[in-house]
Amino acid sequence: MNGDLAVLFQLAVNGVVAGTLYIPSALGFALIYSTARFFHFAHGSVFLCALYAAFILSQRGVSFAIGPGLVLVMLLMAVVAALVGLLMELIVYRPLRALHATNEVLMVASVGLFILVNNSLVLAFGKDAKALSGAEIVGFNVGPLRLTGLSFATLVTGLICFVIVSQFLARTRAGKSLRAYGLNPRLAETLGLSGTRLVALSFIIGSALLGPAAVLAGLQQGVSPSVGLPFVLVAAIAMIVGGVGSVPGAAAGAILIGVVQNVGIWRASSQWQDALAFAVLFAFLIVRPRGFFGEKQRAVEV
Amino acid sequence: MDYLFSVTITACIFITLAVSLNLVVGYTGMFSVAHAAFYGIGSYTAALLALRLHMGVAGAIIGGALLAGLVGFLISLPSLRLKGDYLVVGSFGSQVVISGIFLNADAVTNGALGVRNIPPPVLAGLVLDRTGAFVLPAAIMACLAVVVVWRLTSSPFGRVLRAIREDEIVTQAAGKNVVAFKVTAFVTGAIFAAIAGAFYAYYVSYISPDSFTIDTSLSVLIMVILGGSASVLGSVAGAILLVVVPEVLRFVGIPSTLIGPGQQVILGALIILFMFIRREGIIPEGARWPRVKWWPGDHDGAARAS
Repeated sequence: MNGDLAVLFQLAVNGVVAGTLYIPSALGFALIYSTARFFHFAHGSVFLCALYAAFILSQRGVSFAIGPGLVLVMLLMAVVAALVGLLMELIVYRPLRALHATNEVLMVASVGLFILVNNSLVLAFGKDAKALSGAEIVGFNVGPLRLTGLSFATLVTGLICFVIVSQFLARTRAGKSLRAYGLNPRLAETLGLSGTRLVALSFIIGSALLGPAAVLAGLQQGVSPSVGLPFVLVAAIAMIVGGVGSVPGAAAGAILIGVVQNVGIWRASSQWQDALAFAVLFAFLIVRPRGFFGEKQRAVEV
Repeated sequence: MDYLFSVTITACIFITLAVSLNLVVGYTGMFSVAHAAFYGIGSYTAALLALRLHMGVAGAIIGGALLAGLVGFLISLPSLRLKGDYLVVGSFGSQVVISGIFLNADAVTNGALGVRNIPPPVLAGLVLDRTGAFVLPAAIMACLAVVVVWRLTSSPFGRVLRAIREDEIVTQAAGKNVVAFKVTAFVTGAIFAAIAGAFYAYYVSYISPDSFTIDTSLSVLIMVILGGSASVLGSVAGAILLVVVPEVLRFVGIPSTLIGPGQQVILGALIILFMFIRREGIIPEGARWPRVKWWPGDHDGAARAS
């Protein structure tokens, strides 16, 4: 293989790995958005809470080496994230909804939550980047490609999250209710589904997905308060690019962004990664505003 | 004294930004988080025109305003087809891309180091090189923004903007060119932000990408929302509140490392609180001066109460 092409191929594979890291958060964001119908910016704060919870564990001597132990840590972080997300819903969003808040009001409140939580974390832990201990990176070659144990763990985790969410939505009663409520809240409530409960459920599941993502992101990029915003933005872009209301769409969007960001390094400098993610977004908004697999027509809001 | 001057000038800059963003967010209902991008475009263009091409004040400011208007126009065409939530992400994208240009296009913007030694402006033969000299121009700029936005929004043009905010389809059905109105509002907002930016460049004589990030956009948006969306006086109040209160906190004796995030924590809590108890902001849309009841049984007050 030509040397330049080999680099490109390696970058594309790195991109797929980076993209699978975005899958859980994109799925979570999409799940919450299609149920609660507002932009939950504080999704990024939930992610940060799980990230710092992992940091506390690592300071207490918990090993983050790749293995069965890491699975336990991820599950624990999923519980932490689910609790934080549920608390936001119960303390802020649900009372606001009871006061007849519009989606815009909820979004402004979520921006407030985002600012509040992120800066509380800065007060508690400082602004500087920290590392999760015990993360040794073992590289190995697969044909001409160089991979690490961490990238394998990322791929497997992303895949498992995707399978769990899509099976949950397709097969379980709760998952079907969530989809029904997302498609037509009023009809679903008329048929006896509880909107309040379903929204809370979407916050629990959508936030829990951030737990494993936070552990992996912490191992890859370290722990710092500034990673929350890019993470939630990529999740939002992945959802829009993939098409609102589509699980495979959100996953495909996440991978596409990862690939574009990484392949971009081939010719542009890495400083332009964020700009590249948004370039994808703009291209989609202009050419195909409903994304890869978007609903043909969004449910009309009465 | 210089300290008071500088707080006043900063407040005037943010009043200009908040009032012009209110035209976009409050009156027209387009939730944009890209205002700092236009602020930055105006700032960088004016600074570079003055520094590299030795242009005068008027030329530099008009150049900045024109470029920001053009960029605003180009961004608005695809973005304004988007509804509500999508527009937020779209404008977020514009902001991030433009911030990226400020930070990374080293050849033009000098990257993270910023642009230094912007020459002091010369107005009618006077060189403005002291802080105090900028107070009057700043006040004039803020007043201009307030008056223009106030007149625009109380004209038939403003009524159409509010109609678009309430129901786009009905406005379209009534024969109004919704896209043209939205683009006009957006570009007007961008131009005022650019003027504020050009002024800022002259005032501080050194600009860097840090001043024009998403954080600045969010601060201005918060000024608009806390002040009262679709309320010119509200934006003025919001801007003054968010500029002056942090300055006051500085004197209370909080350690300086905690002050930045500490302020932000309070701000975040304040936003949530406002969403609960006073969604319409400090000075709501359509608010009038409170009527003073001069004596019991004031017939005017009684008439209003009934």
